[in-house]
Amino acid sequence: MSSHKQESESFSLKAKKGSLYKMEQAQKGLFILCTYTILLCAGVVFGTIVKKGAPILWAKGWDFIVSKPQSLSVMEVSAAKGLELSQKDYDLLHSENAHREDYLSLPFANEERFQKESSSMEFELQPESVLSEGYLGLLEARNKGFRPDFIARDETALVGFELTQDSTLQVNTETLGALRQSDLGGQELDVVTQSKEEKSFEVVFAQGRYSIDKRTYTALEPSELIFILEGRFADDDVATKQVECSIPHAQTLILSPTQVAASVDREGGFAVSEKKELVKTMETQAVTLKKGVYELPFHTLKTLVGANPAASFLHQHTFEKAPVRLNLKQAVSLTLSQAELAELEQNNPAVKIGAVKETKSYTPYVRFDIERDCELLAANQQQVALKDDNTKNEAFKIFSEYTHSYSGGGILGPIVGTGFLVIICMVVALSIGVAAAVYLNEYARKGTYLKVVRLAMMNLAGVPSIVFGLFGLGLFVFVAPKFTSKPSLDDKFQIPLLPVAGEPSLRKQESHLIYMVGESADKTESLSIASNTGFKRYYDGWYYLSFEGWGACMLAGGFTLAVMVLPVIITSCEESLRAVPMGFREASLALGASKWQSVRTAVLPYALPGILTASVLGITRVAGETAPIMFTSAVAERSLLPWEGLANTGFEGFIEFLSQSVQALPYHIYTVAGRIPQSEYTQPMQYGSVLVFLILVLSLAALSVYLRVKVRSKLKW
Amino acid sequence: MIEIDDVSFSYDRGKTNTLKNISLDILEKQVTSFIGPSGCGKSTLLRCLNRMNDLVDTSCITNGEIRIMGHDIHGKDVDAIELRKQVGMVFQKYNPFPKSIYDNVAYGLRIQGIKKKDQLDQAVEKSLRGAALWDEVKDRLKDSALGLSGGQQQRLCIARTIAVQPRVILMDEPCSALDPIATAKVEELITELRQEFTIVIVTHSMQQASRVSDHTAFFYLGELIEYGPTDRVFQNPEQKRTEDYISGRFG
Ligand SMILES: Nc1ncnc2c1ncn2[C@@H]1O[C@H](COP(=O)(O)OP(=O)(O)OP(=O)(O)O)[C@@H](O)[C@H]1O
Ligand SMILES: [Mg+2]
Repeated sequence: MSSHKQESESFSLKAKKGSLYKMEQAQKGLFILCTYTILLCAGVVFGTIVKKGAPILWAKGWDFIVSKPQSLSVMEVSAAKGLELSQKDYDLLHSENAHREDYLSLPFANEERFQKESSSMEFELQPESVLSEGYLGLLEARNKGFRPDFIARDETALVGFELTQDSTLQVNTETLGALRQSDLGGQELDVVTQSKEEKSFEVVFAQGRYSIDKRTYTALEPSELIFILEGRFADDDVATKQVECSIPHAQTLILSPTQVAASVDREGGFAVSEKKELVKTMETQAVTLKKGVYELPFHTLKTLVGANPAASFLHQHTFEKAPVRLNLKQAVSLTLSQAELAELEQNNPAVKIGAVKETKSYTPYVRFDIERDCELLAANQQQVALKDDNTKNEAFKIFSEYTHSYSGGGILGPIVGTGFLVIICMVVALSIGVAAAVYLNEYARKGTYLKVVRLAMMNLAGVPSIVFGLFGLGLFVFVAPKFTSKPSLDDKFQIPLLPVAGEPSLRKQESHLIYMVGESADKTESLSIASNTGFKRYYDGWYYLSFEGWGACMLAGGFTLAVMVLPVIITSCEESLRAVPMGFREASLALGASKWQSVRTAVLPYALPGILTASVLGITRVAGETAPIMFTSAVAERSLLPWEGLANTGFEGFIEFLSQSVQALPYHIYTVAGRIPQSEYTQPMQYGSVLVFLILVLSLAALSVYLRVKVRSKLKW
Repeated sequence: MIEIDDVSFSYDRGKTNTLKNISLDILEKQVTSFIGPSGCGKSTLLRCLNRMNDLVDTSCITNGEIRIMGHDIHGKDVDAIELRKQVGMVFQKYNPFPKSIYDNVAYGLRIQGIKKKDQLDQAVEKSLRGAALWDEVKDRLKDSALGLSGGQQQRLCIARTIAVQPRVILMDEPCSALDPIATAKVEELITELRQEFTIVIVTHSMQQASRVSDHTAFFYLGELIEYGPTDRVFQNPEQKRTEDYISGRFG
């Protein structure tokens, strides 16, 4: 009995203070505490984002995803009754204002939905019509699918313009003549004549070799001297940089005094054999025109506008480009609104319009009141619509407007851009990555080489992404090879590949070794000079593989991202290959399969789940990177989606598509959070974008887990 | 049929020889068993016979040559793939592909480019019958091979091997992962297969060697100690070490 008691005393299971067991318990407690603290912090951060981002998502709903980023105007508007706005714009206006906390309710009242009648005119546009390009744009915008060829800009076509006040205009003889011929509404032309002397020089350039500096070269650019430059001037060269050149034959030119001063008879200029001063007396004339609407031939009007920068003309856009003569095979029927058609006819006297038919169409509209003076947020389009539709409403006043960039609209552009970047990146990274992993794991001899490669890969995986960004900038943006018939001046190196079909022509603007000055320089002459001097490479006539880089574009961004994830992808692909039992390879080989056959049929299929998960995880990493795309493809502002506004179709269109820069989600977040002026209006956008981004990333991660479970369960061994 | 002539083999570029000067002739349409303590090189020799050791980069034959029907299998212009079609192999750990039973058996034929359905069907049935598995699986050919029992899976692997019509079948401890009943079935199968194929089997079970094989080779530390008809080797071993091993006194 007593011995039993003694035993139970000496044998105790009670944990003692300071025993290993106690310490382990304490450590465990500490770990749990740390985990919960971290989770709590993450929860707080995530909670804030959800709290601030959710209202805007809730208010805008799907619109937030499917509309482009826009600048938002804050308008102080007066109370007004009977405002009108199309239903679509009204709803957008609603959603822009709905998430604001400072309104208890929106100041809109008495909504009344109705169908607004608008009459559109269907008319026939006759062949041989001449109209100014601004109106051609209008026609194209209102009529989907109408994209006529035009033959030529017509400098002599009459263009309408409006003088907004009485003005005295400088005119030359030609303009005066044209004004006399045009219909001035019964006005008498009051002409005042002044005379002025104009000096110029007749300079003879002798054949020979010269050394000229950049100042000379710049001064002679708008003249007609033909010379061969044996080097090139870059934009950032100093004005005194000298380059050898030669004049192939003697030429006589008329130069202005400034040109002569800059380019002749000085250190770094041409030494000339003869110089003669010419003095011409110029008569200038001025006329006074009353405010009103007039017509002039385009080129005359251009001179007139050029000579009178201070005068105020309307329809300036029609002055930028000459009217064009349309190349229509037959009359086409088009539609415009009544007002637009009237304006078109007024400003384009040479447009030929056939049968006009009026059709009525109905758009859903809303009539509503603004109850009180208030502040409204409106994206550009709604702002314009609100103003345009309510010009006649006297009560409606806008007291002030401020624009806040990127505080409205949605994030369609960035989402789409990120989507394409990810697709390009994964196509490249997976094809290279899987191939590399297969090589390393199945083919390469185990040894030092493999160890070095693995070590390098491990290090690369840890390189900061900004370094990859710079790498991509250097390689893909500036140096990568491009197949083109017009290599850029900045190429590092080029290899001619195929002759271009058709006759070669000199690339005037682009060649720098053979420099042609002047528009009217004779082409055959320059061609012969070029071929005599042996600079054949500056002909069109070959397709080149030109190492000039792709520029900042989707392709460069995608490749940069691919280079960045490659180490990760290769490593995880290798892991999944290694997880395939050796027995499959041996069995397959023992059945008489070749190495590649075994890899293809008995190894790769079973590594697929791992590869899939790796690539989805790769996508989440790639989608979130800012640094690699910052220099290689991302832009802060871009109103077109990548597939909009392409000039080419087919393969060239595809190349053009890939050669655009895009908006990207992480870069957009960076822009709205740090690069634009901050205001209370931009903040919801920041949180909204971040929230959408987080949701995307989380769902991708969930997808990867799902894939792993799903595919794994099918292929188990 | 297979002449192994003074072969030495090394896993580390000839630094140490795992097999030392082994010579033996394996006879056609007979079952030859390799026995010996663990690590003595039985598997290594077996894997030499269809050049499976090529998978180990650093391995090489340092001496001698192996001839199959007179052809040196390590010769310059020997097609290892063709060799493996002639010399099939069944592994210790049964390793069917995670595909259907049918696809497993048809694998070797498909690799050879045979696509015709009826040709494949015939070959699959013949091989499965040959491996005494047909009756058990004929209704579930499209089911995953991994749903079969261990013994069935091993017989499936044998069926897969005979589907490509090799001359020789190498078996590396084919029954070591099986229970006695499955083992008995595989042994039965081996006795049947010897009508058609030359079989080399590595085993740790003396009973199995004596039951199924016509000839037995005893290896010890990379050397061939004794080789002869099974009855003789088991009843009056010439070497002391063979006797000790067989009677379980060391190993
Ligand atoms: N891939 C390999 N690389 C290097 N050495 C190996 C390799 N495989 C086997 N060896 C070595 O070769 C020797 C013989 O191995 P082997 O597998 O042929 O033995 P075994 O007789 O089949 O043994 P067991 O009965 O256990 O299967 C062993 O010492 C082993 O360590
Ligand atoms: Mg073995």
